Amino acid sequence: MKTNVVFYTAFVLSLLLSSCELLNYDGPDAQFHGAIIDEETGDTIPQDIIDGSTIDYIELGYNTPEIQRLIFKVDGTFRNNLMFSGEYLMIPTRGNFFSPDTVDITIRKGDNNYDFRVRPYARINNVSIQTMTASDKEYLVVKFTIDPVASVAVKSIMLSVDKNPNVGRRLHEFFFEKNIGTSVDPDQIQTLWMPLSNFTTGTKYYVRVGALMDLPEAKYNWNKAIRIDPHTIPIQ
Amino acid sequence: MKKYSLILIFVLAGLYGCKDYLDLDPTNKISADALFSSEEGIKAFMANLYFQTPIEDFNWQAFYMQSFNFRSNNAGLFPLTFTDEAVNSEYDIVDPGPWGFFWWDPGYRLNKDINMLFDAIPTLSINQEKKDRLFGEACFLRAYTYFELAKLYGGVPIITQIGNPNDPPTLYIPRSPEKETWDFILSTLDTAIVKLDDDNLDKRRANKWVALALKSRVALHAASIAKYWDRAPLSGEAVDNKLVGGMTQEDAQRYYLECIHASEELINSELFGLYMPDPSTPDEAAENYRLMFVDPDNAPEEVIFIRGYTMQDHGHAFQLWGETNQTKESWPFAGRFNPIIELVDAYESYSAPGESAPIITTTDGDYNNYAGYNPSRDYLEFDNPLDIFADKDARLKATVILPMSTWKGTQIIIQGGIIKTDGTPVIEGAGQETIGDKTYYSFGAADPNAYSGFLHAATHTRSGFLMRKYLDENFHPKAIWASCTNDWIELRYAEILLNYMEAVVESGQGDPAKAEQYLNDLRHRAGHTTNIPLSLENVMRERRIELAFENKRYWDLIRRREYHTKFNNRNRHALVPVFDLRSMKYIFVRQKVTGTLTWTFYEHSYYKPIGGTTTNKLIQNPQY
Repeated sequence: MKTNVVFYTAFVLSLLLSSCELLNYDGPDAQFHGAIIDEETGDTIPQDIIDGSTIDYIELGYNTPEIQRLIFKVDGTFRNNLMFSGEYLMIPTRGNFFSPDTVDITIRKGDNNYDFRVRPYARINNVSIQTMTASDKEYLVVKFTIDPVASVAVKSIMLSVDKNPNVGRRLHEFFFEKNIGTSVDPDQIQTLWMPLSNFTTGTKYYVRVGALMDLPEAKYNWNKAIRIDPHTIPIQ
Repeated sequence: MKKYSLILIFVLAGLYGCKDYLDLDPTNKISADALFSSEEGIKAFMANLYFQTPIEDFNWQAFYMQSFNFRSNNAGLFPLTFTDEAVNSEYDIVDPGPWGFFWWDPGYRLNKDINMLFDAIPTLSINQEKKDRLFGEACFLRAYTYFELAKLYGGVPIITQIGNPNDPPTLYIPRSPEKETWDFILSTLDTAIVKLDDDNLDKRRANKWVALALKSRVALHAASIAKYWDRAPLSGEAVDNKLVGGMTQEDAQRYYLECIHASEELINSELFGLYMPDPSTPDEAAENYRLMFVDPDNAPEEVIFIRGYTMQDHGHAFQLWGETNQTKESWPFAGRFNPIIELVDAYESYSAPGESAPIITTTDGDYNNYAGYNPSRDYLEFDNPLDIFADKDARLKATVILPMSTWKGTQIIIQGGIIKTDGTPVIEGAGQETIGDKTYYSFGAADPNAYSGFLHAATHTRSGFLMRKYLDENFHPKAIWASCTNDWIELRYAEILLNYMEAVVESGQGDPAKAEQYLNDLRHRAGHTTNIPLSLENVMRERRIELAFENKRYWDLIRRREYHTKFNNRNRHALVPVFDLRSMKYIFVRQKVTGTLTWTFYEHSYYKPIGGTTTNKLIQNPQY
């Protein structure tokens, strides 16, 4: 009798264990990384970490594929180390660039690299950071020019400052956003400022300036974050 | 052998179990046939449908996967605190994202119940007149249901038949384009308007006028989305198929005209009017306005449709959350609704009609400076803190409890700090100074139960203001959830006037002279004597003030696509009364509501995510 109980228990347990086998799918076996690159200059296009541009993709071979998403790091690169090898359709979209055509990408086991080459909506050039005094107050002043690749109006420009290198439209300790509403010349100098008293002495901050073009679902075009200690810049 | 016969007996017994005599009708439920065979049954069924109807009242809970009729502890998270009307003293939320506004499943459950009613009506043994009325009522409820669905999700599947589980195509109904969804709601309301009675005696059930009023609201909503879609365009499969957006300026004009016609028919019936349209003083105007919301039965001429509450424990908790800390008695929660200074600013003053009158706190007049107390600025000083609001529109003091004003016979102490005699500011922190034999405390009193502001506890306001609208001075909080029983005004005449004005001003259709007259009628009711011209700015300011906290602001920001520009890296602000011990006068500091975040409303939040798209095979809204 006792052996029977042991036997049946072992039998049921073996059934339970073996029944799980079918569900043991393989884990992610591929890494996918790359960058979003300005097709003209060859530079990566700086991005926002929160509410920034995305790569929408679907994996082929399923009836109702879910749209999945990759986001960019602020420097314009992306990386997903937990991808499954297979065929994908991908499109960088809702960003600060003209969306290219959908691309068919095969992800193989192991390391995969792909760079999306696109035309940005705008380029931020000639960024210079100064400090100056106006009516007895000291200001951090950032000057730059906008190369409006998309020939539309500039909706707004923004100066964003944080101790975190991911500084951007939604991540900032201090910001100054200014509405423009007109188109701009590539050599027209834009100026944004904020009180120097914002900043703790002896602390380094990341500074970015950007322009938002007046296009549906557009995101800001930024410069690469510049790390400075605002109080060490000589007052002009 | 014996073993086998035993097994055989069990198998046979198992088969025998399927015999009919076990198919008993449940004794604790009523079958559909029995329900629809008597008028009482129909009445009970209708009561349940009205209960489920998405009326955005005191029990509208748009957070944490809840929706309507939420009658237990909802944390006081009413959607009015998601807007630029108020903050919640405990939970700072503007856009709850995918956690908010869940009504996909409950919406279609209600839709199925309404379809059951449509199926049952022809089989009922009642006369044709009653059948028509019931049919009209069913149309009204269907329109209400789809209005909520369209507001939340854009174009939705229009399901007017009960699906057959054995016939999958009847279950998988794709989404209709947004435009067709709005058209369906409006045409359903047209049927309701024709079929329903035209008396407005029972304000708790649908009649012709309720349906017309709802149509005025629906058409304005659809028109605004058609007109302002381009302010926040989206992309993706749902947009390509016009399931969201995809309406033209011609559609906008057509919907505005529908709003104008529906509003006109209701106005021209002369069955309705403004409650107490002719006050002799602003104080009288304020009291009239307050009384209307404490008990809508006071104002039958203005009220069109009510959701009633009668039973304690089956009411709502609005006043339980809204009471001031000083008057909450033994109830532990209070002070959750903190109206923000931006709303208070919006009210006109009697001396400068036709514009918002921001609260000026310093001699330089800069009301956009929210940097907090700065000793180098020159603050205006007041003996009586209420003087700073003296000239404001009467509706302000009927809508919010101002610092140091009286509520339930108690002076509500809302003070955020003191400036000590040596000039040291103590703001939003504990501090005191004794001068002679009197001690002055930064919050206005020593005991936290003796004041109502700035302690940074959930029971104390953080904004400098508390809720007064809807609150009843005779109500005493009891330790029972949902023990408030004052009724909710869902539709009132003033909203119809405001809908008409907005449609006229936005579309150039209708009668601008009448619209201007209605605008000034509303202002006159609030104690204004100078008329102002009809303009979009004037109409929208009037709407914001007249309908403050009536759960309209959220949808105004949505339908006019203003949320993402009004909430773009935005803070919400407070007015902090501070007692200056050097001059023994009050000063006021405009600053950020302490403990709140900088908020952004993302454009994809104009539509909410559809539930269960992997099984119901529907196209999801953009970016979910």
